[in-house]
Amino acid sequence: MPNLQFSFSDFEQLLGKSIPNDKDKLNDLLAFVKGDVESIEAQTVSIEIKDSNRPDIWSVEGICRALRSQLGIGQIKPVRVTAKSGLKVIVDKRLKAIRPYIACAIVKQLTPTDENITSWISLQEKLDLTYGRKRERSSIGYYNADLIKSPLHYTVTNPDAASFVPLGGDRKMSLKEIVSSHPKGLVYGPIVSSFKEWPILHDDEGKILSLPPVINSNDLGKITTETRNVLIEVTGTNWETVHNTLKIVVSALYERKGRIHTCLEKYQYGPQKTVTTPDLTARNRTLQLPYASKILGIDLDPGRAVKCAKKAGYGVIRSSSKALELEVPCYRIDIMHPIDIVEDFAISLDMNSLAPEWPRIPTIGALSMQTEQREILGEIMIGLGFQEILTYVLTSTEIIAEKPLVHDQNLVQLANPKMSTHTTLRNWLLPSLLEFLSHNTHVDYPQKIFEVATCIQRTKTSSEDRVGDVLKLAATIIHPTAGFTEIRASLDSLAQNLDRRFQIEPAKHPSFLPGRCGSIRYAGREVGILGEINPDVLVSWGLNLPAAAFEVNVDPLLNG
Amino acid sequence: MAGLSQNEQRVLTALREAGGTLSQDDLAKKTGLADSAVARAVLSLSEKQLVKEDVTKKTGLKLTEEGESFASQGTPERRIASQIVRSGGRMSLNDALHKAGLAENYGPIATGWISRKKWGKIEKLGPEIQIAISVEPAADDDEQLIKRATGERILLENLPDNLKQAADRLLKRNALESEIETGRIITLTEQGKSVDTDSAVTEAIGPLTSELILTGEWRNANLRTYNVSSPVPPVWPGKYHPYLRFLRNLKRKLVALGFVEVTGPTVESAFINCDCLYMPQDHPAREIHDLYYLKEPSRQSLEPLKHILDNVKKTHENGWKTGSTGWRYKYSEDEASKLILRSHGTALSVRTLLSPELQIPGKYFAIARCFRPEFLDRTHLTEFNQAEGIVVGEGLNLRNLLGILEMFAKEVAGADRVRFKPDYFPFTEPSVELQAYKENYGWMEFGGSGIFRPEVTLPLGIKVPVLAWGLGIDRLYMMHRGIQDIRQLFTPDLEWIRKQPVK
Repeated sequence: MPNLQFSFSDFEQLLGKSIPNDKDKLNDLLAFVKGDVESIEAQTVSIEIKDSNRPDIWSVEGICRALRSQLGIGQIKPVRVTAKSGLKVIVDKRLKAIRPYIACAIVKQLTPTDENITSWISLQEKLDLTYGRKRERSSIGYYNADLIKSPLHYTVTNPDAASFVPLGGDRKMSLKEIVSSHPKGLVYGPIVSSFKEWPILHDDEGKILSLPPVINSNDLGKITTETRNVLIEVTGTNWETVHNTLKIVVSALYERKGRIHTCLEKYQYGPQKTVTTPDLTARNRTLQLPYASKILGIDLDPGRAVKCAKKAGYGVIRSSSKALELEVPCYRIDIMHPIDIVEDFAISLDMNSLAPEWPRIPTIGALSMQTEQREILGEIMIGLGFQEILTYVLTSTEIIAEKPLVHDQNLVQLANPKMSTHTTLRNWLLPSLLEFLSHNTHVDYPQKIFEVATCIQRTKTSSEDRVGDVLKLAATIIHPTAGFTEIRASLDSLAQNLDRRFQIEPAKHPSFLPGRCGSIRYAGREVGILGEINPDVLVSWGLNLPAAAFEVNVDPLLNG
Repeated sequence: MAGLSQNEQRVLTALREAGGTLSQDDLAKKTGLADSAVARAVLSLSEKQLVKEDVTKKTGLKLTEEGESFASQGTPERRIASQIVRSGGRMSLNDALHKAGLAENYGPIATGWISRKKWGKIEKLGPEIQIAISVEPAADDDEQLIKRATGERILLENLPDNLKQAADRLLKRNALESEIETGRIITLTEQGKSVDTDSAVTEAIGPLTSELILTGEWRNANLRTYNVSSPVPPVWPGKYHPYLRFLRNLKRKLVALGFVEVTGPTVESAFINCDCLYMPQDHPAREIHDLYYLKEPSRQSLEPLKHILDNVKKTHENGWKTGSTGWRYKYSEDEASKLILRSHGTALSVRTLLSPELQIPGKYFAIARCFRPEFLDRTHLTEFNQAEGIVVGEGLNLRNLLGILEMFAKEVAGADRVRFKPDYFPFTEPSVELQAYKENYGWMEFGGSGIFRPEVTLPLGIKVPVLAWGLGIDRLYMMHRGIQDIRQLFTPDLEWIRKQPVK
């Protein structure tokens, strides 16, 4: 979900309307673009755009374009090309396996303020990061077009053979040096550094524009308030992403009254040998009105539909009682299906104007079997005086194996844990209960607790290795005279109330005291364990009173 | 004054006889009651304001072993003096020691005290010491004190001055030892002086016994009245955890609205959790939230889902038969087979749509434990619960979705008003955020919802609209319990849990 900042005055100016500097009012307005105001500090507004598939509204320019059509401010002018720039780009065939595509445009007659430049760089960063997959799929560069001599050469070079002053730097560095020591080089260098030759973009006089996708040159790639004509270049590995990204950027600059001029790329491979970019042609889409009506739950007549379409920024080619023929603007790269247009119509209509209607579907509600089982077990355990507790499924090997003295080879661990306390999925409950008790040594004893919860069990054989949920019940008592008899009596009472007969057989388990531990068997299967907790385990948890516990698998018990 | 137990009466009487004040120890002696019985009677009487208790610090005196021998056989100087008087008034020290049965080392001690106490004359004739005592001396202060201290502890502060001096001497002679003791002094109050102690004379009875009940004796017995207002030790019942109880109530409400509860696995394939929900494998929309992946096993066979795998794959790549352009990338079955922890309850909605038990029309819900790689803070948990559900049926539309949301806000959250905002999820279109207004809380985000995209439903073989919703239940619970910090959900604080009212 992209976050962005802009100044309130700039927002009003782009919108062409003054609006109250008020969080609630602004939130109402930003609802049209799925935006939420995070904060307003003096003149700076911070917002979050929820739509992670609409880069056309990831800039204040794009947001205001969308809002102007919703609010009906001014004439909606489709973004369009003014003229050819005459700039050509010659693409080296050796790039085919490295970073094959490039798309350029020149936007002229700009008069950027510092704030505008900040906004464009922010758009560039968001596109590079998300849509461009951290520059792997696509990355954007801005240059002062007046310093560049056509044709551009998008080619490759030996990393030691070329050098330039990286953006923001003060000395020339070789490509290799940039990748091994420049902050941007360290982050983005790995995208190209595995290749023998690296991409390079230079003009016809040999002046280097950039090492795509790592960094621009400080000489040509610096945009200032003096810059009037900006060259935008996008390189990448995906044809569609590269061209879409360029459309998004030039459309934003168009909102700053820039004049868009095309460039020409010449390839020796790819879908087309000669490409003129950007291609700002709108796509035509037909929307069937009965389809839209059925989804919205209203009778959408053509007049209302046309109004909705225009508010949502679509061009209307023709309308009939059955369908609308629409022009989808080039920057709306999110439109995949007519349903996307229907949603835009719903937003234009304002969903709050639609009458909510509880669906008249007669159904009989029911709790799941698991909830029913939890309630049965809960009733018995609570009747026996146990307090229900709630603990995490995610734990650590220290808690489920080391402290209970268990050597378990089949623990299920996360590949990408975030915290050292949450690395492993628990396969039994007792450790969670002991951990809980360790936090309560100052609280009135006796303490009797239980939990019915999911554990994750791994079944590993030569032919399969799978994991699945197992519902378990565990209970623990701790007080000065807690012992085997008391916990066994609770377990017996549980069995009797479930109308089940358990056999208890002597067992050995490192967490329990030898000679005071039993395995719980039901219908010939081992379903759990009980006993007095091994004092070494108690001490590892800082517990200094005797404790006893049982743990059983719920499934064989209730369903067996 | 009704309800004086016999013990209380004995205490009052003893105090009156003693002039109004006694130590607790003396009370025990005078009343013949055990110390604990006196303490209970005094506590009860002081609650009735008939007596008051003062705590004092006193020096207790007790005979040592040496002192005990002084008491039984006399002090060394007494024993010698008696021998001399009996033998005619004059004797050598060695003879006197011998006759009195004292060791020689007592010589200097005995002669020292005889001369200091002025009982007789000590004469030195060459190497021999002669002692002359004509009459048996009267018992002195030291001996009086030894007598008083025989068999009981006495208080230094209660002694007359001459005996206080004697105590000093005996302490130095190691015949006495002292100990500071805290005493309780019980004094009658004005009210206590005037109370009628004859009103109840039978023994007050605490707990009823089976015998008292069966014989009917309890009618005549003096049943002690209890101070029903005074605190008693706490007891803690077993009960449901407050959050799980809240979830149980929520489930009941949803069942009452006709929803069927479903459950499903915690560990899912990325295929079910993401791909079936049209979240592309190589696109920012996949990153709407992060996922926890499993280290080992890291993948699951998708063989059982083969019948839909191909549909989903083609839908992602080119839209398949859904009328969509698709995400236009190369779909990876390996990526789909990766095992992850369920990151949203919507995964269960996919399971429901794939289930052979699915009824159309139908209403389903699940409360699912979900996992996302987040650091824990006031508003984030790495493990949390989501309530999610679907309504499936021919002809369902956006207004029905709004109707469901409105019902939830009013029935489940007790909201006064609702409003809807456009929302975004990769798997729904249109997508709607539910905002609910509650008195004292204002407007707040309460849930997300939408109509499943055709790219979600058609590959699963569902040809009717599916309305999907999710409720922010953790926030609702926090309001319900007045909690500010979401980590309190999983609090290990047993005392807090015990003290939560059942609601």
